[in-house]
Amino acid sequence: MTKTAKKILIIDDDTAILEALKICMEECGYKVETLSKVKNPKNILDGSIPDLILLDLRISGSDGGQIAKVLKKDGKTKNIPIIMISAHPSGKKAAIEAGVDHFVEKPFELNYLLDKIERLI
Amino acid sequence: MKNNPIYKSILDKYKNHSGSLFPQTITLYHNKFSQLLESSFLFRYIFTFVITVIMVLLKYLFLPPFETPYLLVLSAVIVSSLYAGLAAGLFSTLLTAILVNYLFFPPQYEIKINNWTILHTVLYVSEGVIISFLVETERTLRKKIYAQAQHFQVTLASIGDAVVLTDVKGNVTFMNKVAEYLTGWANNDAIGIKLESVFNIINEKTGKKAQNPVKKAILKNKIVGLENHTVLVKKNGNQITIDDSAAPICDPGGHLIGAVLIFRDITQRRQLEQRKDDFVSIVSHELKTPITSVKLFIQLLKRKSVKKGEGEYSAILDKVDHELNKLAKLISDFLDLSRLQVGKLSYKRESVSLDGLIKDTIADLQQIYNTHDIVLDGSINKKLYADRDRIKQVLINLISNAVKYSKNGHKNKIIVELTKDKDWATVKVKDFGMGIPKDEQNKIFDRFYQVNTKKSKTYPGLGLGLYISSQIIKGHQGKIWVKSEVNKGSVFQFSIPFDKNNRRLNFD
Repeated sequence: MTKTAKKILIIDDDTAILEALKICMEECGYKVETLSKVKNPKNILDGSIPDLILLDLRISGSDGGQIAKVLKKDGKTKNIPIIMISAHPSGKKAAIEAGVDHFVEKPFELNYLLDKIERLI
Repeated sequence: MKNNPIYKSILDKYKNHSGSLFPQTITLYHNKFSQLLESSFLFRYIFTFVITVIMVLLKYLFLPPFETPYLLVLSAVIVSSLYAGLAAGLFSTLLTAILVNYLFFPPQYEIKINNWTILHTVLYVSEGVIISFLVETERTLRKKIYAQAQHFQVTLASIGDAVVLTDVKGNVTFMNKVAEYLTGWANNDAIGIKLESVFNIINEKTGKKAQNPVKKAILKNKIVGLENHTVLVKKNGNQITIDDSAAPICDPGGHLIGAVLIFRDITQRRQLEQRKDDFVSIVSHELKTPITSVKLFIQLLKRKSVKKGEGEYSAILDKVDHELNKLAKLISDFLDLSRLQVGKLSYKRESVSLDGLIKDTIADLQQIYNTHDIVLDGSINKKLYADRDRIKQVLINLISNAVKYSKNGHKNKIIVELTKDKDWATVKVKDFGMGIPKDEQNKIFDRFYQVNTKKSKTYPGLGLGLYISSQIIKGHQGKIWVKSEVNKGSVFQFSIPFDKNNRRLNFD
């Protein structure tokens, strides 16, 4: 394995999904950080830059699309690949508008997600 | 009926509106005088008496030019019987006979009973009686016709939906109260005006003028329904969502004499549908979230069990995962169904390579359905203007069905064939499975329909997949159909026009 502990930031307000994704990603050799609430999109990263962000479209207290837009505008963060995840059928449209790198509809196959992550990292 | 809540709400709605929705009495002549004649016994006889006396006096004045006095007084009988009925006619006959004979008689008819005067009187009374009866018969008939006509008018006016009648040119000839209320036009102002001015309809989404259904009904001489999402702009500019139909009116000889338009306010219904759609959307989102985490945990367990070499668990976990996928599919179908019902299934059309899309879909499905060999045949190398995800959904539906119905000993091959002609791209999904009986073939695209054979009971599902697929293809101005033979297999085909402007091409 060539993965030298790449870091993935997972943002989802559903703690079960957050936990499941964390275990899955760690199992696959990634370093994982999680966030279940976002108050200010600008302060998400707190200095440490992840290699990829898994972002839920609907997060309580904020909007995934908005977060993605902020990150993609900022020169420091615009190159971080973002995969947007949503159970909402209209999520793809919002994802495209936000300028994210990929959209995955819930529920999804773990292998499918891993494949997309590997391609983007 | 009056306790019916719908009826009540209509009454409540229109109670402040001028005029009565339900006229109480039916009379032959529309004035107070004739109403008094109809209702008062005493008045009828006073009227008869006065008329008779006037005529007799007139006769007295104009006697010289007339040979017989009876000609003029007979008119008193006619007027009396016409306005006050049979009894009044007979009363007038008797009265005139007496008056003529005993009061104003000229010398040649003096009160000397002779054969001559008796004959005259008998003749006169007979004439009076016959005329009274004839007039009464005519009167009864007219009353009946009038009552019928009025009953029809009242019924038309009382219909809980808006009713507008037009002539052949499309000018308004009648509006009922509900139509007055909904359009904001008074019947008297609307009569003679072009329907388009009174019934100003636009498309809810585009805001453009909608096609006038009456025009279409008159031109085509058949019943026409309104397009979905039609909004009526009232006289004051307010808008309401309506549903309607227009039909031509023909006389008994079959000649077109006008059209009838019926419409109703469905704003409330639309709001309810919207709320239901929002609810279904939220529910499906909420249901998918736990499925997502359970699926992740299952797949995690599977990875771990494979690592540890516990293959037996891996097979079980695959089954759990498969069931979860089915559950997710059901939820998606429900959501699509709900959207289709409110006409909200929207299409994000873009330039799509059908070749690539089918290739990808087959690759995805081949992983899931490892029991079957899914083969692509042909290519079109021409871009299509379509919703990529929705067309993929149709492909997944058709291929999954093909696999599902060709298990258990049938040839395990699925052929996806791609062809084109000048205007259309056509996809065929061919299986060698159990097939569909002839009489079931046209029903399988219906909502909730499932092929009703004993065998198919082993294949559960809601029967939504083909319905949703057919709606998606229709949404692309395309066509979907099936050819099938029992125990030989089925070919599901759909065609989508290349035309970017969504114009429906003449398919046949």
